Amino acid sequence: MNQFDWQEFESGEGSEALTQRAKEALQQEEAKAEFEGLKAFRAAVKSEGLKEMIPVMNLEKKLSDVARKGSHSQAKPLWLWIAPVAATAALAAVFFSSSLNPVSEPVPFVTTSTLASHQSINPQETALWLASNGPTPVAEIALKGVACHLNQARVGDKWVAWDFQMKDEDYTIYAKQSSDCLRKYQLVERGGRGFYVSSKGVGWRCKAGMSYYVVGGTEEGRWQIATQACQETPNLVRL
Amino acid sequence: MIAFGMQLGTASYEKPMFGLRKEADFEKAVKGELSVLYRVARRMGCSPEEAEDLVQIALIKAYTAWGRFDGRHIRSWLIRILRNERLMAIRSEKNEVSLDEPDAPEPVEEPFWNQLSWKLQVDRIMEELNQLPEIYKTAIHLCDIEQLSYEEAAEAMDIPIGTVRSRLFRARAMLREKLEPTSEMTQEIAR
Repeated sequence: MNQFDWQEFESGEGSEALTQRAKEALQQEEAKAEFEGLKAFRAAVKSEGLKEMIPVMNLEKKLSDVARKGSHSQAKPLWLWIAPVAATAALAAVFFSSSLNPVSEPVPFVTTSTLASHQSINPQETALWLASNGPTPVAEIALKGVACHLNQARVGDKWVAWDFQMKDEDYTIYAKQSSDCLRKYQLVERGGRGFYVSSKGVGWRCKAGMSYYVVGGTEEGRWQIATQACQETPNLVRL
Repeated sequence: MIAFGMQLGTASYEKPMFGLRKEADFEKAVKGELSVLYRVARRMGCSPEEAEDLVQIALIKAYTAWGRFDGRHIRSWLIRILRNERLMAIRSEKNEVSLDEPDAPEPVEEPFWNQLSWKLQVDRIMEELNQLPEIYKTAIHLCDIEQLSYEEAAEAMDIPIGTVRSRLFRARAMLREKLEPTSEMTQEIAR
């Protein structure tokens, strides 16, 4: 009979009473064989399970990359926070006072330069920053399940952007409250959803009048990001 | 420096407060867990390349949440992050993985581990293990291959300790059934 959780006994996780009863039971041959059998089974499984080669070098490089690139979001002395804010304010003042010509960015609805940016790899923190600094409420984009990392968020005149990196390629998701800005592009269906596709980007629209557009990197990468991001942006317009 | 102890596998690790050395601390604490994470990813059905990508995603998420980590059972914490990412990715691919307990054999009452016949098929253990439903092979992998305690495995799978026990028991019972010797083998043993 299996009267004991032998593993619990072996690992010392069991109660004193269980340990005592197990020790007494081990005086009997049958129980002893059962206990030894379990130990042998676990040893065999462990031995087999640990045989696979591990790409240690690759994994350690990925860890270093994550730690190094993630350092953007570390706690900083106060002056390091004040400096960018001051610089951003100065930039904004120059921009509005001199009515600079719109900067040409590779997105139809992005017609002004960046007014402020926030470096962070944390999607939640970024969403909060965008909520308080951006021109319009936007979704929290984490790109769950996609092997990429967030570098920073930016805001401009009536637009916001998230800058990501995936496999050494830079990608940006732009968002703007506009229902028309993507209409000139070819409408393509993927997975029952409509995407607006150009040679440089992949876009989609949401019910709240928001339009999102991914640019940068490779076409495959843009689709990968767009497919996941559109699931994270609320009230998606479905075909 | 004000510090508190953080369990790191069987060793202990001093995690400085205030996040002053976040980057170095994270790298130091996580480095020893990379192999475990990779093996868990592979056990969850990832190809070698997918496993590397999944580990990277988990590391990014873990780094983001590093400030909120309570300092206990880092291995379980990392595995839970990796497992959640994997399950989320599978769901988004519309290949739903059932996390319900499938019909499972009732706990066996007769002696099992004192039967030596299964040992003849040790080379088949991993093959059969990989055929088990996800929740069972993960239980075996964490408890028998990575040798996590019930408590650590419970944290990693985000389930109660009692459920770990029952999953492990059922998983082993399933393996036992798969590894039952064929009649030819029984004759071999008899000889």
